[in-house]
Amino acid sequence: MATALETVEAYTGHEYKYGFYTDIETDTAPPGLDEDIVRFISAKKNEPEWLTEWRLQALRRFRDMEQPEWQKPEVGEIDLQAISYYSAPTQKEAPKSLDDIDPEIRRTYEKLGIPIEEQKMLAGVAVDYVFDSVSVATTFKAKLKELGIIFCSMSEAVHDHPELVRKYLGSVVPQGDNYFAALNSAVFSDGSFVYVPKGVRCPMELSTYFRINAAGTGQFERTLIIADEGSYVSYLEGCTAPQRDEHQLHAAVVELIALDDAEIKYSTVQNWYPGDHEGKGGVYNFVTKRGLCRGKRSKISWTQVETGSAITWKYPSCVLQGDDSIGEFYSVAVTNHKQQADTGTKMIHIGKNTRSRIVSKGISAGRADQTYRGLVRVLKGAEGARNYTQCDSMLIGDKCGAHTVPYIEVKNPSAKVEHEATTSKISDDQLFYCRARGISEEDAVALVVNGFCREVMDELPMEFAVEARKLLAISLEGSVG
Amino acid sequence: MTTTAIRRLEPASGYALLFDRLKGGLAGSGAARASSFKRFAELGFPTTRTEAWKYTNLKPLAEVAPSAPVPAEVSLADLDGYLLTGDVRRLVFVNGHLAPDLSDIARLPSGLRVKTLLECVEAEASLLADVDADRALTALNAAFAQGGAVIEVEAGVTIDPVIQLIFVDAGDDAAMLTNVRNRVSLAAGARLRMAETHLVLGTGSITNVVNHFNVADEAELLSDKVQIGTKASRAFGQSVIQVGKNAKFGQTTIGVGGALVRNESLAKLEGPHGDLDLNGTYVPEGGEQVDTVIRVEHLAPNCESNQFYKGVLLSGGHGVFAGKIFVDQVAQKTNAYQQNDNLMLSRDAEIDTKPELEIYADDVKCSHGATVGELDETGLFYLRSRGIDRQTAEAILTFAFAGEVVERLHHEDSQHQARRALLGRLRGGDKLMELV
Repeated sequence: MATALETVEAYTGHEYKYGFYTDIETDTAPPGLDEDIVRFISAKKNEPEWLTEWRLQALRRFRDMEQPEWQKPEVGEIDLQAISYYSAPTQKEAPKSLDDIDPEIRRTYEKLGIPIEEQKMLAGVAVDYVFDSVSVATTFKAKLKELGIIFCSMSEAVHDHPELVRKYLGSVVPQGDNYFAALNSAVFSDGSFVYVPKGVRCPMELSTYFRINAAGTGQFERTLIIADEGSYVSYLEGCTAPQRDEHQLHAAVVELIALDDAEIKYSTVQNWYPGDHEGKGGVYNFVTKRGLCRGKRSKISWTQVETGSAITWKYPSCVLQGDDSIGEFYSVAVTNHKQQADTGTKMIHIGKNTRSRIVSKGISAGRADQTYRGLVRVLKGAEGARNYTQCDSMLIGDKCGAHTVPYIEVKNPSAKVEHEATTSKISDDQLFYCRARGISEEDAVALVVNGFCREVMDELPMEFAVEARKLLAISLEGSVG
Repeated sequence: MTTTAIRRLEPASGYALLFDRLKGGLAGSGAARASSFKRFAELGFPTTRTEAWKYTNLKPLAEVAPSAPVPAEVSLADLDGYLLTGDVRRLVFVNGHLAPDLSDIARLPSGLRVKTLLECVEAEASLLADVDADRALTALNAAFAQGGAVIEVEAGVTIDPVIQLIFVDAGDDAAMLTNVRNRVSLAAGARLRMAETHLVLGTGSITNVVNHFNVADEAELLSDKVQIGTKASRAFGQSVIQVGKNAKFGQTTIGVGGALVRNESLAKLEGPHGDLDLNGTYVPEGGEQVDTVIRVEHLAPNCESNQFYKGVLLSGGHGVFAGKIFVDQVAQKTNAYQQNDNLMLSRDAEIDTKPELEIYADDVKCSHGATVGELDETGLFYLRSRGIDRQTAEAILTFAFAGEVVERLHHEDSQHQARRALLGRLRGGDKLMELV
């Protein structure tokens, strides 16, 4: 309890702790979206022609699409012409070591409480820092190289491993998949690329920090992770973003591909700026995340802790194509004040004996609204498919909302699909019990909520678990009393 | 393509032609009828891009040239097996028209009024009011409906006889469009039990029913609904249910047969301590599709609602369940439950289920569950080891599965009807007929 208490104190005053702004010289494209901008981005990144063409194709698909409106949160028309689609920290030449990195950027990460040096040593975590869409430092690269693991920025991968990028880019999330994915495909700036060769077990957790920095630049990350036969990789993604008054759009695409017997574990702690108490100024987090279990006995596991953003709208999904493949989705979403979240997953069972498990915990407080939206689809050939879904919602206060929208579509009789959902308020008895033992109301809430989410928290890698527990407590500050 | 174009199916010209032909003979305000039809034409049929119709393709319906209901000869013998026995009053409508010879509403107890829509609509235009402004089929119903019952129970009266409404579609024209609208109103403290029976005796038809149940404070209305269709029949129904303070509404629906059957319920718990109970079972096979769409709105505190639906998907059958519980911010201390279990007995069956919660109050207990699976192998093994052949064993287990819903029908005769219809569907079910 002590740590949670300390943390709560450390974060008192409901101001967003990470809301600072680093002033570095940026090389920014003029606002607007057309073919010229797409060509500009592509040229700026010195991309091969096939990729430029690929982006333009995505742009054409995008133009035929309309902003979707089926979701629960009211988004309103986003003026995509007002956004600048490229912003890169200017670099004279590529950094060779951490010392070469712009000290401003270094200081930014220090303010985040995660100095790179410390990160480097901490339990063997290699960090691919992404700062305003361009990766500026990559650590542990040499060590990974020994094992044949490729872990670099997408821009580097395009140049160094074009055959892999060309083969897999868009193979899980096609250009025209949805409105925001099409936008991303046209203008994606950078992101991470991971390739784990056959039979290699990645010895460390790979992680990336994303930040949105320069004003008015949306961030369009593109992540591609390929686990070749029999390999294993665990990837961590954590987000914090500085304070802004206008809404910022974050429309990323993450593609995972697991071949025979491979396993990918993808964990996210998302803590973008949620806006002030009136919901003003927060980040729009509209992300398309999808994993393809292409090989037999492959496994993809998504774990997410979503506490930030004004609007979170994403469905990390698994396409279970290989026989005996496994998909998992563990999620904790916390919404407070006027935050809104519409999140969940899709499990598409194609192969025989495919299994999926969904555990979703939603906590809604203040005037927040939260929706679990999930799809479990069992196709005709998915003999022996198995799904278990559990989604629990907890309401704190009488002005928030919690909604559950599960879709279950089954076309195979041997499938076993179970779905359970409950909604309840935070237990008065449990709070009273804690209070009677001298625990403050806010700590008691944190304690109960952490217990409620435990099933998901246990799935997080250790480094994240600590941070995530603190985040839960901070996110719910001021929700009771 | 614009959003409206992909969400709207243009009704074929046959609908307007039919309306032009019939409008002179429709009871009630001609202007109101015309405005309802205009509304229908403007709305058009929904497409699968409309969320509520995601799994249901109305294109064949939109393209049909509907024909007017015609008189048909139906005798009491044709209704054999579907007439409730005991203390019963009944109204029978054949192809949307009252059949006085088959009906029996003599000796009505005091406090109960049973009339037909046709008798009342001149005096009371609100009977055809739009109960759901955005639903094209409801507007279509308001334009055409002539048949149906208007039932009223006075305050504080408990009605002993069961009221049975029988709707028969007979003939060999599967494009015949019958529109029926019923209104059942219970004043404060009244009690009534009723049964709705929908029978398709000929080849098929298109039936479009709208029901309005108004259960005032402290009143109680229990309703059994049995729907028997054919391979070519299409049935659409919408029930709008209003439940007052301390009032109760219960309905159990058993449906067998029909190319496309869709039952929509919109229930509103408007007063505190209201109680709502909706149950049903569906057994589609051979290209049939059955939709169950429910929206339960908790608009007052301390109410309880239960939805209990079981589906048996036979070869070629397609089931759709979309149940939603909506809890308003004022509806504290709500208890709302929803269960949808599905048994899939064939490789070419399909089930799409969407149990949905939308909750804005914190002190509530809401849960929902949905399952899809096949018959339990151990159960089958147990029966087989006792010398029962596989087919019969499967029939026994399936019958038991659906039986949980059947026993919620309040009238014993309804239960018999339902059991017979279910067993008639199951392979090996004939051997169990003697049990019911």
